[in-house]
Amino acid sequence: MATRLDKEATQDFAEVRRHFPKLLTIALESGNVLFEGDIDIFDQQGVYWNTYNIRITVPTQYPRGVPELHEVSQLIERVIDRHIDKDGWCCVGVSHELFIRAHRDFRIIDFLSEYAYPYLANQSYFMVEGHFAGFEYKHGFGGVIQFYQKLFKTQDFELISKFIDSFLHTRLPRYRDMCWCGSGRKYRKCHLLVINELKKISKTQLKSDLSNFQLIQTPQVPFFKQFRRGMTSIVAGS
Amino acid sequence: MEIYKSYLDNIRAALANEIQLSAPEVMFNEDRKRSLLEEQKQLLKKTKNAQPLPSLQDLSSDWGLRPALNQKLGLHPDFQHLKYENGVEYHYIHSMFIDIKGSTNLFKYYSPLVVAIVTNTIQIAAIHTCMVFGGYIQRLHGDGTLVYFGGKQQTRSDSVQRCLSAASLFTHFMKTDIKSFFESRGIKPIYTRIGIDYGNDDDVLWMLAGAGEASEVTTCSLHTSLAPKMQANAKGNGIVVGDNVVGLFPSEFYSPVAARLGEEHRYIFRNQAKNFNYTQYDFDWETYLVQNEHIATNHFNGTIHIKPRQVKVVQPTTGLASIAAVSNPYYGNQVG
Repeated sequence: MATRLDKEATQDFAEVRRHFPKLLTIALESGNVLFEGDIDIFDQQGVYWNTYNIRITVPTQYPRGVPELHEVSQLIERVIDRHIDKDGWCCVGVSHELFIRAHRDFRIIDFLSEYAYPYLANQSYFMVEGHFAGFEYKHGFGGVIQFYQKLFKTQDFELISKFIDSFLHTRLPRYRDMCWCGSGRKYRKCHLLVINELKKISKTQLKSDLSNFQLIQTPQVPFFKQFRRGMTSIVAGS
Repeated sequence: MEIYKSYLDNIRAALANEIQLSAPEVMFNEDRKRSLLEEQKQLLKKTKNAQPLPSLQDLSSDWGLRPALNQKLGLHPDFQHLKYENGVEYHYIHSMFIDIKGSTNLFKYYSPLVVAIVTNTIQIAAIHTCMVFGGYIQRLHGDGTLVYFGGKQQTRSDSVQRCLSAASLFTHFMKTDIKSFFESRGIKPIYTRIGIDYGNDDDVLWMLAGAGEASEVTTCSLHTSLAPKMQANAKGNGIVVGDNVVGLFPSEFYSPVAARLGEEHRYIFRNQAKNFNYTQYDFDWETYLVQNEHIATNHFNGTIHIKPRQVKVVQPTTGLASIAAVSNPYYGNQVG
């Protein structure tokens, strides 16, 4: 049976088992690895809330790549406002953010503690309070816009798309030039750091996002005009 | 663990009382001394409560168990007719022997009355745990307790799991609550060792031993005899089980005792004439417990909790909010 359980991955998986003893590792004949089993949700005071039966798909290029979380127990209502699809696939965050996170090693225990566990705790919170505990992204491209607004620390679509466009066509400012954002700081001390983050997102994704941004900025497209009006109220990251 | 809190509180109260007794202002105050000693006697009486404390009774309802609460020592209800018939009967049984170790050391620090409260409370906690899981208390040997699991209304596979669950839960109480309680007082902790074996229908003879009032309905079986012997080979707060238990409930939770104590301890019983070699195994009760469907593990600190059947909806969400707020969920048609 072909598996890719090398020493490092085996150690990582053993660590998952130490923290989450009911998550079992399953090595498929295809070489893919899954985690299946229960996650018990406790709060910071040590109060037990509930248990979710889940499945995590480990990416083939592990420890690179983004793991996927599925909720199997069906405790979460299958509606998009709960950030889950009908098959139980959990939308733990905007894909761009996850790709940036996975640019370097994204160990399965980190995925569990940074994304999966908080996501499930948030679902438990929703079950009691009727809303999520913190900021949630809008569905579809609206959430992608919020992601970029948070990343660039601006709500200016034109500026964001200018940066993305320039990055894709390598027409970025020189390090010592003043930054385009108007902060009065040099580019190397301002948005250069953000551009470095863009390098971690695939160019195909960036091109697709850029064309969507350009559509929003096109006044003759009525749907996007309306969409654009709605987006002005977003305060990303708050 | 919350379910054992009352038992631990009893021990805590006895030790606090003892400290007061040794205070100079009490030593020469006969009235105060008398009243503290009376309190100790009351605590000892409290341990004699025949029924499991409500916390343990809640456990039985949470786990959907049928506890065996009304029982007489040495009289398994399915075989009590043997007391009057003077007959014999073959029927399977799981035998568990629990021994409390290290109580002698307590005499260095405490009076016999306090040592009695501590050892009694622990023994009663063990008895109550077994009763809640459907065990029948057969015999007490000082600090040792022999318990049977199984009977005519129970399947072998169900009763072996009940037996292992009771042993694991009680050992967890000893290894966490009791251990840290004594260690925090600078005293070598008291601990338990448990031996468990299963005898099949052909191997267990039920009979009346003794005569008249000096009698009990008991088993004559190699496997009942092996339980205390295997107990002696368990590590502190450990459980050793026989080959038959492994055969009845196969899992990844066993490792031969030989791996820990050496090859000469591989078999607990040998009959070379019949080429019969009976292996003893360490039972990894900690892993067994955390994988139990009724147990939840707090991944922040590794502590285990009994899952309630229903979570109280009135519990405040403040502790949950700080963890949940880290999540910024999304819905799109891409990975994430």
